[in-house]
Amino acid sequence: MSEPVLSVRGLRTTFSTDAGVLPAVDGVDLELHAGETLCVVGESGCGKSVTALSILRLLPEPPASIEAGEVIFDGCNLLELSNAELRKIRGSRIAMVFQEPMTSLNPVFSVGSQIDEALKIHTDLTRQGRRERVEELLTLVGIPAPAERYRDYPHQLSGGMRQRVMIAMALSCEPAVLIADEPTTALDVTIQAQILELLASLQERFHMAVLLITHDLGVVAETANRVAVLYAGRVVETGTVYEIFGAPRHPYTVGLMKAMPGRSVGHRAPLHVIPGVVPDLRDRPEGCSFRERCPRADAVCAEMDPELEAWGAESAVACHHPYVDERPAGEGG
Amino acid sequence: MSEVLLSVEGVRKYFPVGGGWFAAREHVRAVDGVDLVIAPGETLGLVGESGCGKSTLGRVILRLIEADAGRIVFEGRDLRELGRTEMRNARRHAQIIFQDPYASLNPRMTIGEAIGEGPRVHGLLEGEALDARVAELLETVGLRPDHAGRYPHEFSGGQRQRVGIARALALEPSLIIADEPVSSLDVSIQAQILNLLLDLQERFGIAYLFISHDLRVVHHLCDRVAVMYLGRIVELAPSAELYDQTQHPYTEALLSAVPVPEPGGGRERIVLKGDVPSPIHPPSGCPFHPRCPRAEDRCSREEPALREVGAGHLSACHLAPF
Repeated sequence: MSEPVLSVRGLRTTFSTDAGVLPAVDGVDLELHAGETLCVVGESGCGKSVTALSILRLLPEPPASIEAGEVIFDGCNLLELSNAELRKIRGSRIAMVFQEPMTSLNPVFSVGSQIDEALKIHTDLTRQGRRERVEELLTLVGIPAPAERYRDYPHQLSGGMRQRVMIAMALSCEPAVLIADEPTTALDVTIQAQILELLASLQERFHMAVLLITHDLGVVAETANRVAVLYAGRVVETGTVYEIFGAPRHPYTVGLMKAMPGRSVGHRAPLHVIPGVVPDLRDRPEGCSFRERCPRADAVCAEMDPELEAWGAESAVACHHPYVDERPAGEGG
Repeated sequence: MSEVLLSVEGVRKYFPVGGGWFAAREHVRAVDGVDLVIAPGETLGLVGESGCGKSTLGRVILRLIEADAGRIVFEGRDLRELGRTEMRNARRHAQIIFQDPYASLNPRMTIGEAIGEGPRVHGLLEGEALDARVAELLETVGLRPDHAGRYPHEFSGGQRQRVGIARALALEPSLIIADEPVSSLDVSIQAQILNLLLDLQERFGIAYLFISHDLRVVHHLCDRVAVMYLGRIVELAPSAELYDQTQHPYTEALLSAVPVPEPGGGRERIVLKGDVPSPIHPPSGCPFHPRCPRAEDRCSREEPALREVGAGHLSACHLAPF
C-alpha cells in the first residue's frame, strides 16, 4: 500500500477531572491513505471524537492534554508544530466538518462571509475572486441560487443546507484530508442520504482522504473502505469494510453487529445484548478492558492487556481469543 | 379488527405562528386530520422525519397538548370530553416515555420517589406498600431495588431510560406512548431497552404507540407501521408488508435512504430532492408531489385520500397500488 497521507501513532489524550485523570484516548494508531474513507466507529465515550480533535489540536488544554504519540502529515508531526504553523494547515490542508452545523456556524455573519473568511486566510484571491469562488463552492455542494444564499444567515437555512455550507467551507481550500465527525447524525435519513452522496462525489472529485467518525454501522457499511473499531479509548479491531462486516474477529465488534435490529434475529425476537457498561476509564481494570462484558474472556484476559496485532495484510485485532473460524481462507495468522 | 383500545379520528392540531399588528397570523399544520386504531397489546409504529408531527400526535393523544378537532377514544371514552378529574383517572392507563430520560426526570427527586409518584398522587399506595411496589418495579426493569434512594444523575443514559419505563409502568397502563425511547442510546444499550419493552409487553399485555425515526428499529418491534408526512398519515400497513410491498413513494424513498449495514449490498437509492416543505404552506394537492419521483399532473391538484389498497394496507397515493 502507498504511504499514508495521515498517520496517528500511539496517541494518548487525557482530561483532568475532579475525580482524577481520564485517558479518553489511550494509545490509538490510525493510517489514512489518499482517496480512501476510513470510518472510526464506536459507542459514546470510546474516544472517537477526542481522537479527531486531537489530530488538529482543537481541544482546550487544559483540561485536555495530549500526553504521547505523533500525528504525521506531509512529513511533519502536527503535535510539535507551533500554533501559527498549525493554523496554516487547519482548514486548508486538513479540514473538519462537525455534527451540529448550527453550533459551528457563527449566527451573526452571513454564510457567504464565513466561507469567504477561510479563503481570505488561506489564499491570495482578490475580493472579487473570492466572491466567485464562494458562489462556485455553494453550487458545488448543491445549494441553489448561491448569489442569494450568500447573504443568508445560518438560522435561515435548514439543517441539511447548513451542513452543506459547512462542507463548502471545509472544501474551500481543497484539503488533502477531511475529518467528518458524525456529519449526518443530526439529520433525517433522506437528508443524510443526500449529504453522504455529496461527500462521496466530492471525495472522488478532489481525491481527498476522509476520516469519518460515526456510531452508525449502516453509515459505515455504505461509506467506508476501511474501518477502525474503538473501545474504551483504544483501537480493538481494524480491517477492510468487508472483513469487519463479513468476518468480525473481536468479540466487541461481533457484539455490535449482532445488537443491530434486523441483521440476525427474527421479527420481535430478543436482540443480542452486550451485557454491562463501558468501564470507568479513570480506573481502567487490569487486563483487557472489554473482558467484563466479553463472552470469551478467561484468566489470560484478566492478566494481560491484548496488543493490537496484525492479522493478514490489512487488518489487526486486539484480543486473546478472536473469532478465527470465520477467517478468510489463505490468510496468514 | 375486533377489539379497539385506542381510536383516533380526524385529529387536527394547528399551532399559531407569527401575527402582529400588520402581519396575518398563520398556522403550522402539525397534525392535519389523522385517523388511527390501536388494538390491545398491539405495537403500532409511527415513523416520519423531523417536523412531520409524530411527537405532537403522541402528545395530543394524551392531551398533553389539546387537539383542535377530532375524537380520541381510549377504553371506550372520548378523552377530549372528559373533565379534569376524569382525565386524570384515564391517564393512569395511558402513559408516555420520552427520548431524553434525563430531561424528563426531576433532578431533585430520588428515582424511588419519581417511580412512586404516580401511585402516590392517585392515592393507590403509601408507606411500606409503596416502597415494596417501587422495589418490584425497579426489579422489573432490570435495576437494583436498593438504587431507589439515588438521584437521576447517578445513572447512565440506558439506566435512566429504565427508570422512565418503571415510572410509566407504575400505574399498570394498557397503553404506553414511547416517543423515540432509544434514539439517544448506543446500539448495545438500545438493544437492551428494546428487549425490555418486548418482554414487558409479553408479561403485561401493554399496547405501544412506538414513535421513531429509525426504520430498522420500527421494523423489528412493530406489528403495524404508520408513515407520517407533513402532519398526515400517508401509508399504514402490517410491518413486513410495509417494507416488502410499499405502496407510497414517500415510504419508498424513506426506506431506500436507510443505510444498509452490509457493505456493497446497498439497494438502488431514491435520493429525494430538496427539503420537507413548510408545514405552514403545505403544497397543493398531494403534499408530497413536489419531491415525488412518480408525480403526475393530477397530484398537484387533487389531494389523495388515505384508502385501502390491500388487506389492512392503507395508502394516500393516487397511483397506488403500484
